[in-house]
Amino acid sequence: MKAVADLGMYLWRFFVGDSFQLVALIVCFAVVALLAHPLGAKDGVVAFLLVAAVIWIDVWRRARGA
Amino acid sequence: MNWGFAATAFGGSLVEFVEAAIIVVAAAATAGWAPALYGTLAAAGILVVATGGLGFALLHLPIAVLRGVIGSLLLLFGVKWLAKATYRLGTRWRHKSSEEPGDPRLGFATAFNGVLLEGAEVVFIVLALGATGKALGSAVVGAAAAVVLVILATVAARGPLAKVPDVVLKFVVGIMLTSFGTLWLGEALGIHWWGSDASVIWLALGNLALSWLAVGLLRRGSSAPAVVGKVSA
Repeated sequence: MKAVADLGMYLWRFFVGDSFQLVALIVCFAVVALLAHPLGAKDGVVAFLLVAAVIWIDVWRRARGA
Repeated sequence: MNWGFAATAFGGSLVEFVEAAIIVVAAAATAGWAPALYGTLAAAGILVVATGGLGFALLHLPIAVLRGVIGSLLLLFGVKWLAKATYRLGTRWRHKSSEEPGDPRLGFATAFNGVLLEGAEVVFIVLALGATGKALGSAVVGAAAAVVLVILATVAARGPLAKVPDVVLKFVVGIMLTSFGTLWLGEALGIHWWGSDASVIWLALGNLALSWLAVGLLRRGSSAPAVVGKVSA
C-alpha cells in the first residue's frame, strides 16, 4: 500500500512539478477534440503537429534556460 | 482444436504483444529491467485476476476510456523524455557524464500502463473469439503462442540494446511513447487515424524527423566542440 501511495505521489510531482507539458497537451487535445469532426481525416495530422509543437517549445524552453 | 481461430488469435495478439514489448523495452532501457519487469508482472497479475473474476463480462468494459487514460500518461512521459533527449543530443557538449539515471518508478509505471492496455486488448480478442466461435481453448492457445514468441524476441534484444548510448535510447523511447500516446489518446477522442493502428509507424517517423531537425538546429547553434562519451538524459 505504501509503495502504491509513493508511486502516486511521485507521479503527481512528476507532472505538477513542471506542468508545462501537461497544460500544453490538454490545450492541444481539447482543440483536436473540438475540431475532430469538421476536420475529418485531417484531424490526426493536426494532433501530430500540435504534439510536435509542444516538444519543440519544450526544447526551446530548455535551450533558453541553459 | 480449431486452427482457424487459433491463427486469428495468434495474429491479433502478436500485434498487441509487440506493442507492449516495445514499451517494456523502452522502460527497461531507461530505468532498468527490474522495474520494467515488476510493472509488467503487476499488469499481467491484474489482467489474470480480472479475467478469472469477470470472464466474458469484461467484453462490456469501455476500452476507449482505458485507452484514453493510458494514452494520456504515455504521451506525457514521451513528450518529457523526447524533449529532454532532443535537447541533450543537440547540445551534448555541455554534458560530460551520466548525471540523471532513469527513475525506476517511472519505468514501472510506463511498463505497467503499456502491458495493462495491450494485455486488455489481447483478453478482448481471445474472449470475443471464444464467445463468437465457441473456440475459447483454441484462441487461448493462439494468444499463448504469440506471447512466447514475443518474450523470446525481447530477451534476444537485450544484449544489443545494452550497447546503445543512454541519450540515444531515451530519444528513441521518447519517440515511441509519444507516438503510442498520441495514437491512443487520439483514438479515445474520436480522431480518424489513417491506417488505424499502423498510424503509429508514420507518427514515429514524423516525430523522428521533426525531433532530429531540432537536434540539427541546436547543433548548428552550438559553437563548442562535441564531447564524445556516454551521456545520460
